[in-house]
Amino acid sequence: MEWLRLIGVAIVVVGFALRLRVTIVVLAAGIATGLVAQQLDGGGGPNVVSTLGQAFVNGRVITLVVLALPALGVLERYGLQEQCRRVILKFGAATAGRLLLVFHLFRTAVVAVGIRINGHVVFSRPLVVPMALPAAGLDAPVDEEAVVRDVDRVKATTSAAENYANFFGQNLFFGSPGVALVVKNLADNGHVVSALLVAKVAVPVAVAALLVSWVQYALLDRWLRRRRAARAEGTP
Amino acid sequence: MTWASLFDLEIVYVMTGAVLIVFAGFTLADRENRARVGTALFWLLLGIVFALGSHLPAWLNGVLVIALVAIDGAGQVRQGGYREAAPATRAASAERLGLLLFLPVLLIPIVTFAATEVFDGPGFVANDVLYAGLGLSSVLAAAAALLITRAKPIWLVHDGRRLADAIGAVMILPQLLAALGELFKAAGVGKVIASGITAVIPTDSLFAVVLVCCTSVALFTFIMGNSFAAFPVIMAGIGVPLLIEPFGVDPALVGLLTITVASCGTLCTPMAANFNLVPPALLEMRDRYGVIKAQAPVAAIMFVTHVLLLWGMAAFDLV
Repeated sequence: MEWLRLIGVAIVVVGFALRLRVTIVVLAAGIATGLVAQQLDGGGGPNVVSTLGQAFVNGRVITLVVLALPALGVLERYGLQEQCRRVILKFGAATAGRLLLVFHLFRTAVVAVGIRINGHVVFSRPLVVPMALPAAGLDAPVDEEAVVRDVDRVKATTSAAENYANFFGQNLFFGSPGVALVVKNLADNGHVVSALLVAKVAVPVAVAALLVSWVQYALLDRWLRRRRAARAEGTP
Repeated sequence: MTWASLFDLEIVYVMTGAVLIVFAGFTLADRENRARVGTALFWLLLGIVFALGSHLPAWLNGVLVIALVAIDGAGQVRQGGYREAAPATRAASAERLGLLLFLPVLLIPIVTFAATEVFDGPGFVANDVLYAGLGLSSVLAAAAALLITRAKPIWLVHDGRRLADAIGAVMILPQLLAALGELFKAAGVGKVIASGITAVIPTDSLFAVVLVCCTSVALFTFIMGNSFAAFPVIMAGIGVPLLIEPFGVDPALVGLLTITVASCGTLCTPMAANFNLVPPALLEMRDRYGVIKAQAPVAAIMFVTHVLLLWGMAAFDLV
């Protein structure tokens, strides 16, 4: 009956897959796991609610980001996001691919100093896509239907750039919730590691992400060039 | 008073709790929030856990956590009104302040990093200095933000709670997942998974275990759409018992790469709607899955890179 201990894992997988509210899923998984283990181990020990409470209190470092919100909020009121956009505008680039490379670098820098922004809303839609389409010669198409695939691909790669930089860059910030979760989880398992070291391991990851994405951005430029040439020749 | 006592996490927890309780107070007065009582209660209870958690009995903290989840479950954590600045005002202000706007935010990592360099050695716990430093430098950043913008201090509250409400109950998710990891550990979940895996693959091969660790965390994330949720399961079942302990692989290496290789799963899954399905709608794309299609090849190469990085850095002891 040992496998019953995995009930929490099953709850997490099924709950997330069914898109149930994540906090409820995680709480249910924790409580179910605790209860099953207590049964299998013949009772005794602290009750599940106490263990949960203690564990949550022990993890407070992970949510310290709250303290940075007032400063970030006021700066946003005074134009932090607009200033980010001005920086990207200033760095404008000749082709869509090169623009995405610049955006990727800037976006990584932003997330690496601990500024969390929904870049799809703040950068992609109002700024990067409107800059990338003219750079790709797609801003005023003669025949809109003929360039649907091109436009879609520029937009898709822009969203992808936002995700790459965000996912593979956020743990460069040693105060990120991701790094804190790693540090806390390892400490619970008896391994004390420095948050700075954990963030250092994120450096090769961010560099690899940049290089791999760079290839994708370059391939995008090549593909767009070929499509443009094909259109000019009048072939579909 | 010694320097070490400045970097007492308890002080930072109390400060965080106080900020959350102030948010709660202003939320209660926010008539534009359709769930102002629920939202205020959420921040209040979280504030209490932060400020008083070390002194309350464990069972009471547990009850507070259950209450937080119940409030969220009832859909009672919502956004309100924050008298936001008009876009034109923000643009004019950005024009006026320029790069100075970045300064307060940059203070946080710079001051914290400087603190970890200066306050090193006997009497100091490195991570305590770091996390307490983060908290203290956040206060510094708030002061700098006021100085630069000449904003009234009350905006710290309104704009702070604007961001807190925008994140909502998801704010506590990483902390809740860390607690889940602890419960898994106490219940012996890891041992069951580890013995199952040992029965199927050669766990004396470092490469095989690295491959299984990376594959399973990416796959779990693909199914669930959330890398943080997959993390405690894989660490309990594979990372700690099959990589760190038998092979002596650096724990920081395993931990960080496990959480980032999970992102390769995030890049490929429609379950991560905010990252993969909302953008095509936002950008008015024809192909609903266009972003996932664009990301899949890069995710695959990044996955292989992670396997090689973890295996290579572990095998040749490069950390």
